[in-house]
Amino acid sequence: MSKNKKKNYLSGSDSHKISKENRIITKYLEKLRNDSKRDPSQYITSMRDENNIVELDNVCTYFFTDIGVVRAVDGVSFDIPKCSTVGVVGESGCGKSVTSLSIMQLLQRPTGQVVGGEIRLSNEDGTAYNIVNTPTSVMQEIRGNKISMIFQEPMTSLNPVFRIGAQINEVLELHHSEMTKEQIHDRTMEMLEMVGIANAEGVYNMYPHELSGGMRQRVMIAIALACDPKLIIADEPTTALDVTIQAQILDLLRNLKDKINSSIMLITHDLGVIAEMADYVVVMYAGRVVEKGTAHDIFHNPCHPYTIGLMKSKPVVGKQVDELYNIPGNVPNPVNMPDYCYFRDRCDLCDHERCSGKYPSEIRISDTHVVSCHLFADKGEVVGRSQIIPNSQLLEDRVEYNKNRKKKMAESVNANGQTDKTGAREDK
Amino acid sequence: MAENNKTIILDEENNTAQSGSVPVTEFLPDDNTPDSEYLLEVRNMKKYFPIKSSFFRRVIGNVKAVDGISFKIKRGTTMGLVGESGCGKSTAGRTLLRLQDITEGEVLFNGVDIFKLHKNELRKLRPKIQIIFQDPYSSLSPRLPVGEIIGEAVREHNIVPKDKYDEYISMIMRACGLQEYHKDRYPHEFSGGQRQRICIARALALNPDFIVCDEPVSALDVSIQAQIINLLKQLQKEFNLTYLFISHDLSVVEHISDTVGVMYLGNLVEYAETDKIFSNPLHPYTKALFSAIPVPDPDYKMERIVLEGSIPSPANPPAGCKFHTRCKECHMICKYAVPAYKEIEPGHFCACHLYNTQEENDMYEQEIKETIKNEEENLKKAKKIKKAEEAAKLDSIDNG
Repeated sequence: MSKNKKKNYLSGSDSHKISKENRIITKYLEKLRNDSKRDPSQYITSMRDENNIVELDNVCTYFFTDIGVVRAVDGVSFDIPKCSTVGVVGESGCGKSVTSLSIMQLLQRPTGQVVGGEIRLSNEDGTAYNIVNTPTSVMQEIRGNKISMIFQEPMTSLNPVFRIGAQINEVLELHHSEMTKEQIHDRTMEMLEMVGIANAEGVYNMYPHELSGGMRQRVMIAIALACDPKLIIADEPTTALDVTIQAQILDLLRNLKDKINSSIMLITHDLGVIAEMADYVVVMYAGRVVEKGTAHDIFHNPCHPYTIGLMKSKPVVGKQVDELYNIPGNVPNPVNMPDYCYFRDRCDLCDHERCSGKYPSEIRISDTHVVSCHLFADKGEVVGRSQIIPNSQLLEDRVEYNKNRKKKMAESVNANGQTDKTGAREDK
Repeated sequence: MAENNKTIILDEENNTAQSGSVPVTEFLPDDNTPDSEYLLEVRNMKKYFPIKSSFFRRVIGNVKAVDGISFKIKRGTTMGLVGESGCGKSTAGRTLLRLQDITEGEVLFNGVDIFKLHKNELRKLRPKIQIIFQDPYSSLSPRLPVGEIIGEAVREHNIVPKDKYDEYISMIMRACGLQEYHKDRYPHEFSGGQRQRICIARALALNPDFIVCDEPVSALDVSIQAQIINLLKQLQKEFNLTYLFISHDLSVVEHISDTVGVMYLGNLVEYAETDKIFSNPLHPYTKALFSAIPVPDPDYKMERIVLEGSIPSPANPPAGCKFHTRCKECHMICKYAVPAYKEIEPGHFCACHLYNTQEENDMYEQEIKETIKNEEENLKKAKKIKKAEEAAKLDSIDNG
């Protein structure tokens, strides 16, 4: 008991110290995010590969809570190619939803912040947005228009006091101000028919509670598709639905993807759904990508012990096993992540000498297949290593940012020939 | 341990037998009767929920949640109950434990009808039939420590003598994979998987014969799901338990069950041994349900039967076969006649017109002809009445 107390106990002063430091960091990050007059050169970049729609490069999303920094997403990198489906799998709490929210910039702010890395979203003219640095005002044009999202629970994500039609119209009104009311109505009807709602005119005037779960999810899909987005993020779109309805919705998503030429990022914990839908698979564990590759790579040649464990623990129809495999132990505490491989304590194939070292780097074992595990250290070339961004670095960044701002302020003041004092006071 | 418990229970029951109206020995397990192979038998169970009008609270209709199901469960086996949400599988599970009243039918536990028992006798029976609920977050009292959650009913039913109580709780907790020092903790300190273990321990502590598992793993993660399923299987072997396993996840049901029943809109449409039903499903609904299971293999291409639309309202189910609105192989008969639930192969029950014999078909056809005739006549009568009324109206206008 006493040992446990020592480990997890936070005194009042400790907690105070943490929250004070958090406030300084989040304040600085919020300032960056809300700066609507930010120089476009800071967030317009170019894609690494023209064929990708979104590239994630070492993305770090942290939650600054009062018990410490929770590193929910910790150096995640993968690409989403054009016109393809990328599946993200993992247990709950592994950071798959936070990754998608980071792309949408919908994190619970100010506690949740993307603190590092790059998320590049390709633009039609060949340039790309770096979403990590994009200010909120620009982000509002991208969200719903270029990227849109389908949420898990269709009941809670539709507004119960507005008619279905009004909720779809809203998206179009926001992003296409040039459209007339008739055009918007026609487009909404077209969307409702496209997602397979037979009685489109009737549903247009209904409220969400009048529809069944499957129909509601169809409406959610219609809202997401209304502006022809380049990327649809589907966050567990079928978890709340029945098997037969799930089959309908998956069929619909697959057909629509080809029809409107967009990519899907599919987040789920159901390996069966992933196998059926995805071209590429990303397996996440404790905020990091442990394995990624094509669906064929992952399902026929799973390499990381976690992926293998995940596959073995799910019962499959037609395969008789006496006892299901279960992964022993628990996910490590997200506040105090160890230095070594996060999966070491639960791993069957663990080799204590090697695995006690640093967190394994990502190793490319074939053209498409990347694993981060020490077992494959000699079997391929090292691609990269994800690294933690410590608080001290963020604090340093903040000091530098303030210095630069002061300098700029002074320059502008000199140019205008005004007194120095006002600028300095503002900064304090 | 188990022997000790049994003797205690017997003593208890002998005491109350003098005061009770029905001799208690009647529902004690008797291993010599030929029927003892089956622990539970459900005969034509029905459960309707009344719909009341908003004004006078009159009953204007019924939601037929469970509409006549019958099955038997053998001692020490698991029966899986699958179906879409809203098909009445949870209601069936709750009703057969008498957690709510039955509308019609019988539930025989060890040969005794649960619904005919007196209050005191039901109380004696309660420890023998237990339930594990779906959501481990809402089914544990947040104000009780874990030891108390598990032990409350043990004390209430005098399962063990007082001096052995602590030891017994520890033993049950260890059997369910919990540590002894968890006793003083509260449910919020545990993860979802651990909470489900607490729920299982709570049910197991009463030394039950029969447990209804109402979607015990659907709120859990994949790897934790595996742990709980393994635990349930292991406990079944150890304590010779009988389960009714309710779930919508077919792969889990296939793994754990010995027999499987498929429900649709309050009716059992198919029932057979697990191997039989998965290798050779007979009912079109079962076929569609099984083909909708996603298989974790990207190269696997299956001809999927996608069911159009969703499950009809149980307050106003379609006439004839309830599935005919979504069925691909729907015939004329299906729209009018309700198919009989009968044994098609030994041990394989199914309710579908596709497996009717010629004689039965002829019989149904005649019935249908009659009903169609009646309908037509009714229509004609209605038309005649309408015409007469209109004529009367015209006359009155002319006269006026």
